[in-house]
Amino acid sequence: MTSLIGNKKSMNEEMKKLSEGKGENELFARLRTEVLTLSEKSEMRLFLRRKVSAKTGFARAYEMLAAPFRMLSFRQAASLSAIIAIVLASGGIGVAKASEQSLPGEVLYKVKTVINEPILGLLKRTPEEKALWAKTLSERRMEEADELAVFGKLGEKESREIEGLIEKHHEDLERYEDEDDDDFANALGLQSEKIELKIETRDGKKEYRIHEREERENRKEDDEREKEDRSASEEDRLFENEDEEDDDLIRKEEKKEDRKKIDEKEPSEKKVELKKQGEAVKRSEPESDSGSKSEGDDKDEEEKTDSSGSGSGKDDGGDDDENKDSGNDEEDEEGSGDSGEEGDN
Amino acid sequence: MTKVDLEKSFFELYERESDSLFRFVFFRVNDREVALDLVQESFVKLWEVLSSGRAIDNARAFLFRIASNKVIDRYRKVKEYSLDLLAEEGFDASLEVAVSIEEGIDMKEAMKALERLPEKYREAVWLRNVEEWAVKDIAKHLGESENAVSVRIHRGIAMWRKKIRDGYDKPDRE
Repeated sequence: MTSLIGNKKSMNEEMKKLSEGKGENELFARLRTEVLTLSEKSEMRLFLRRKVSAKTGFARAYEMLAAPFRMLSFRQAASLSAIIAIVLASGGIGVAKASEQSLPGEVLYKVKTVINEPILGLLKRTPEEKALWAKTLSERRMEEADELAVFGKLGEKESREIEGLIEKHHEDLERYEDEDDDDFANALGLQSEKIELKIETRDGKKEYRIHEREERENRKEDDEREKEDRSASEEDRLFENEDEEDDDLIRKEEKKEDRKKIDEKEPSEKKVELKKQGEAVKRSEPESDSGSKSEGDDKDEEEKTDSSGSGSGKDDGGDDDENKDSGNDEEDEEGSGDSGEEGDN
Repeated sequence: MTKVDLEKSFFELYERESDSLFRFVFFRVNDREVALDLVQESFVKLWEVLSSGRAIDNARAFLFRIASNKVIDRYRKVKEYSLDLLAEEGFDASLEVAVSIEEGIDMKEAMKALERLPEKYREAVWLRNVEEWAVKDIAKHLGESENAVSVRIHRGIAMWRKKIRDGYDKPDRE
């Protein structure tokens, strides 16, 4: 801006004097007063130090590494390289050790799950050991989820990571169990159970739940178990068959669809299981007669819808059906209020 | 010279010259923050050159030349910027002139005039008058005889006065 208007500006007295050789000392004195403050100076020094040491630090490291090699024969250089490799490897062990305590979301967690654990897994020889190791790992994942949840750090990302790993451990577990004899697998008590980690948001808080899920086929095969379930799921039935007579037909239609879906794929959530347990109660009697095929179940259900619609027990097991129907009618009103919530969950 | 020695002499230069360089820059840009930036950039640049292994006879002179170039670059940028800005905002020059006439020494003009001196004169004038070095030390620093330095100082001052007059009388060259 000065240059823009410089031509137009007239020289003031002081400048005139200056151009005539007077007042120079004043100018110089004024120039001299201007210095860096202590903090400005030290701040800049610090900046420069960092700048300088960054470069020389690298250069020094390079010189230190390169210098011995230049002086040594090839064989000496090779042995020195070996020593350096050992030192680096021991550094790696340090990292690996440090990673043992890491949790999902931390840098070293990948080291732990991708490097440490598979390497330790390689040390397991027999399928038995390997299966046990897979079980140990899935338990570790649970503990990690536990720890994260305690610190309130169990986010969606972390839980997905843990779930993925658990799934992988279970695949391993199943694979090694197949190789191993059944007795051992039974001893582990794992063949019939699957462990599922489920994270739900409730009241804005992240909670985690671990529940054991039975394999569907298992349950079908095991009639006794079914009966136990029936008694256990009396309450669940409340939520299943609570509808009024008006809606009965629509409801049953929906249920049929639901059931088909369930039959198509494995239940993956507890609520589905609740439903199924409820159905199991209804189904139990026909099942005992008609066998345990799922197609049979469906047919039975259809028949049942008809029977409850018409109000007359025309089914094979008359006694049980009557009991059940009456039970349902009684419980309908109580349970109706809760049905919506249960569905939402 | 090893890296360590180089580093040491670089920081000796910093301790010795940072104030001086800051003054040198500050009175040209008239902005403390800008001056600090330019001084720092100048030292960084000097270090880059030094650490690249290039031999520099006179690190101090080199440092001041770097700074001088940076100031000129800065002027150029500011000028472009303010011209653009003025064009946009509709600038009334007469108002600005009225404000910019001040009493006392116009440091910016004085420094601009000094800047136009040939480097060997400027260096001598600056060291003698602003930094108050003894002629003997300047001679040693510049690698000249004391006589030659004295002559340079006197000529430099005379040239400077003339430049100041020129700055007002003649059209601005910048």
